[in-house]
Amino acid sequence: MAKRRLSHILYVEDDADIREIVRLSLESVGGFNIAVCASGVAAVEVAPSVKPDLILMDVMMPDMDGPSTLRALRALPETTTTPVIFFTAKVQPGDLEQYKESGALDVIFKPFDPMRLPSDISRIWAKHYG
Amino acid sequence: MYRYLAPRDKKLIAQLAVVAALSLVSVYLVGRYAESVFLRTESEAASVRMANFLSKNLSDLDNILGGGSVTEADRALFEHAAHMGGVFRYKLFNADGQIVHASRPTDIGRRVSASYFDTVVRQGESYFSIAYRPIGTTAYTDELGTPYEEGVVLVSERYVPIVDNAIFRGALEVYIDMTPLLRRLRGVTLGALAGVSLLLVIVGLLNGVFIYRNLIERRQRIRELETARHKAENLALELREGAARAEAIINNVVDGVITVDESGAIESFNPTAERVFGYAASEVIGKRFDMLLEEDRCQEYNTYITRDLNQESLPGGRYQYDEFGRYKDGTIFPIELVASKLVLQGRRLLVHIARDISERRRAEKRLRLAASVFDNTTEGILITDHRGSIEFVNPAFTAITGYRSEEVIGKNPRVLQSGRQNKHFYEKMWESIKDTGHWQGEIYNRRKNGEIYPQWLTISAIRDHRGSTMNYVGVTWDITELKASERIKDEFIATVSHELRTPLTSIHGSLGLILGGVAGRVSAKAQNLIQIAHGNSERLVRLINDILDIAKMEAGKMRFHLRPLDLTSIIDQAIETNQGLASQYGVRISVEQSVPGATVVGDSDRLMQVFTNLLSNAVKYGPRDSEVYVSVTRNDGGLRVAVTDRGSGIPEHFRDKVFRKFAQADASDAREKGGTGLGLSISQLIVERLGGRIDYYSEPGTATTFYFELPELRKESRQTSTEKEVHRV
Repeated sequence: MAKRRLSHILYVEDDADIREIVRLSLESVGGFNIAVCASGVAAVEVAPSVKPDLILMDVMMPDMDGPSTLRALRALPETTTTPVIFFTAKVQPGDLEQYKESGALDVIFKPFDPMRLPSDISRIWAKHYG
Repeated sequence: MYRYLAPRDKKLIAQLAVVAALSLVSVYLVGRYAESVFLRTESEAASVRMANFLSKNLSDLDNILGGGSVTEADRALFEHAAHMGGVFRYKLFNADGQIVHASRPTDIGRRVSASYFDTVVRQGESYFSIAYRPIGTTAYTDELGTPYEEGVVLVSERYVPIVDNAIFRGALEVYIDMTPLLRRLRGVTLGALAGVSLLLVIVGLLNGVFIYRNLIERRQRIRELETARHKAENLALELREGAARAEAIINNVVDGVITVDESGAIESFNPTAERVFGYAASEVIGKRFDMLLEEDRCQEYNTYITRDLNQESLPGGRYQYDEFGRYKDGTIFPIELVASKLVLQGRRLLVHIARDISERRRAEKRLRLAASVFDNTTEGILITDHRGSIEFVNPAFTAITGYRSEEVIGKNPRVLQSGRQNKHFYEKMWESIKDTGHWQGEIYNRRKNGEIYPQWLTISAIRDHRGSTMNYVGVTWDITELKASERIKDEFIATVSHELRTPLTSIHGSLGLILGGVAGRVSAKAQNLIQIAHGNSERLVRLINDILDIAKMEAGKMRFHLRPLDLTSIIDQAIETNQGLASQYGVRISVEQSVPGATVVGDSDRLMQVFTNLLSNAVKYGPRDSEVYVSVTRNDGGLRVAVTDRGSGIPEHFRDKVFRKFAQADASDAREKGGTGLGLSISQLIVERLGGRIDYYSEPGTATTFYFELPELRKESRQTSTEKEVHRV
């Protein structure tokens, strides 16, 4: 995989508080450029124009959950290959594999340590594109 | 076989054998005698012929005998004579016994030394000897120009005296090879022997056929006789046993047999009657029969007796009464009494057969009870025969399925299938019934009105004492409502889990950011308080996770990803994960003992959870600067993983609470040690789910060891075990 720099992240999350914390964490601690969406539907609308390097996405969302959103994004030419990391509460082992099979790069668990979230993401990124 | 031969035939066989032997021996002896006669005669004839020829044809025999020289013509005559008689060597002796002419020139001039020359030959008698001699290695070779083959030949040696006017003038010794003649004679002898043998064989065969036929017939006859004798013996034995048997039967029948005479007195009382009524025979014989009956019944019975015994018009009459008997100690019990009239040697008797029916009454009661349960229980019950066709269903079955008894009897329970379960499901079900006699589980069936409903079903095979199935019993319980409430519970758990976690994630994240300085500097006091809030929010997250784990596991909804796992690497990983915690508590973790290559079947995340629980407990409860030991050992088919700490231990009175939820020996522990009080409960649920067990031993003040045991996956079974996911329904 070609070496790529991670700079723009699109974060999709329905809970406003968590959205704010994650934005703070990634901007202030990680120094990334962050765009946020409040739903999967919004993400599908916004992503093609934002063209993020990475999409960080909640799984349990009303209307359109994480995996459905991922499928929708894959169907768009601009986001066919955009890497997606799921951001979710503790899952069962079967779910984890299912997420990875659905095309997610990796999974990060909630609750998370906002001071370490940026380095966790960088580590995953480095593993695939470093 | 031999024992079936008739004596006459045995004699005949012996005679035949003797005749055969005698004939062969005599033929042989006659042959040998004829041989010797022929050899002697032939030898004599040939020798005399040669002597006569010589005396007639030699011009001057006297001259030769006198020592005169032998002319060429004479020599030719000698040889001619020798050829004619088959002579291969000759010597001519004068009267003094000196050789004057011979076929072998070296012999000429020698003198005979044998005594028979004087005692026999000189007296005018011919001397004869015959013997086997070797030819070819001695001077016999080529003497007369006759090529003799090497070997041993039969040589006749004969001295023929030459007598003239009663005066002995000399002798001629001739050697003749008798072998060809002997060969011819032997041929004749052997031919005779062969002929006789053939004759004997023919005679033997002819006789054999007759003897064999006799033998077969005789054997048949002897066998028939033996069978008849056996039958006769058995019959005699049976007759002897008959009498004894009749008595034994009376003594051993399961019923009491009591005979009563005309006056109503007991005449005989068998051992079963003794058991039924508790009296010894000697105690009741001669007494009145009604002592064995309930007082109220005596009067009535006595009228029966009088009537029955005295009424001639009821020959062989038989009466059956359900009575109440009176035991020796006065206890009243139900009996069945059969009385029949019997005339024995002119006396009239009543034979009573008394049977204690208490057991039958009890069985009847049990049956009534069982039937009532069958009819009144709320669980549907279905009973089929061994082929699976329905024999009984209870009212609850009708209530659940809508099928009335008469609609399903004789049918296969297949009529209830909903199609929700596949063929494989039913195959597994029958496999389990065949192996263990049972199956239970959840299954969707179809009611008569077409509605599909979930039920909990237990199927048991009812087997007879030989182990073959007689019936199948299905007990079913409609769990439609239960399922509905379970679904609500599941949804509730999922919702609670999400709803609780979301605000917690915010709280935890916000506090984390403040602690990380993202919101700017805060005072030391505030920093301390936020630290407390942050730590507790973390603990709340763990609590929620643990409670949800337990709820899922107890409901059997926890999914396990089972696969072969290398135990050593899991342990290493768990130790590494807990290293941070250990150094925080100033405790070292070391592996004391391990089993390289040890493999178990498990879910790696869940197994890690168990290790982490045990390790973090040991680390938290061990004193500072102490060590926590991990050891793996193999014990009969299983692997034991033990974690030992040097902590204060667990008081014995706390033993049965250790694996309970929220159990900590000291209530303040939970907060102090930051645990949820659920770790060991979860560990126990996980280990038991993986087919193992978890336990501990503790010496308060010294050491505490928590261990769990899991079945080991052996190498040979590893090929067949494939990764599979287990769903608990």
